[in-house]
Amino acid sequence: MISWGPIIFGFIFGLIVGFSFRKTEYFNNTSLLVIFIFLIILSYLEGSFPFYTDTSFSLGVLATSCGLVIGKLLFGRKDNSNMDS
Amino acid sequence: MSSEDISPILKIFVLPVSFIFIAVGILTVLGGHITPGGGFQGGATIAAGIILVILVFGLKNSPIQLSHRYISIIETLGALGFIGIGLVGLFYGGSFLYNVGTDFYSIIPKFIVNIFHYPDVTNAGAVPYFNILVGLKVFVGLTAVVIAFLGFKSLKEEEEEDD
Repeated sequence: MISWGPIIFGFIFGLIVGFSFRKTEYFNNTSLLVIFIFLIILSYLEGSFPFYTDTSFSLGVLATSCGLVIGKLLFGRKDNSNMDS
Repeated sequence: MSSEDISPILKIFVLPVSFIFIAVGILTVLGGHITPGGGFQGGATIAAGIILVILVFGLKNSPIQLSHRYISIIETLGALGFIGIGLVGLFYGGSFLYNVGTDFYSIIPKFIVNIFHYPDVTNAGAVPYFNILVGLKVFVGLTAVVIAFLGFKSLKEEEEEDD
């Protein structure tokens, strides 16, 4: 039985944090793909956390990773404007 | 040491690590109602990942930007959401922060219980929502402290250069 709570709210939380990423010379979309693969491995190593899913993956980490990556792809194209004002 | 002096190896290494910090922090927030941890601990872990990036890259070149507007929106959302769910418990259950998603005393209308029932098998009610809102508030709050200190430092350096 899949619990939708960690999936939905992990995705939303990841999206909120992913909004704050910006363009940088050290970090392009290819490295984002590599990080996403790392996060999938992390979710497998995490196991079925928080202990009530029947899958061998942590669905919360997977949803969070998707949220982070989609948030970065949607809003990570702008430059940093921290020092503008 | 300024951010220009930091090694490129560290700059390449730190961003993937921050992603892992953030993912583990969010997982701590989401598992807060049945495992050790919760909103504050998870929020602090997320903030640690972001602070790591800001310290290595510096405020000006950081790939993570938390604008004043972003910080104020998330802080407000966290605080008002927490108080809002607490007030729902006060109005319908008679006490502030009553768990309206579980309703142990069967005093809340069913549609309110359905709205605030967290969709998982543990019957935790509104507790995960409190964790999520506290996590949002703590992550921007702790990060804002570091951003403010770095901003003060850069202002002081600019003033010294002018003198």
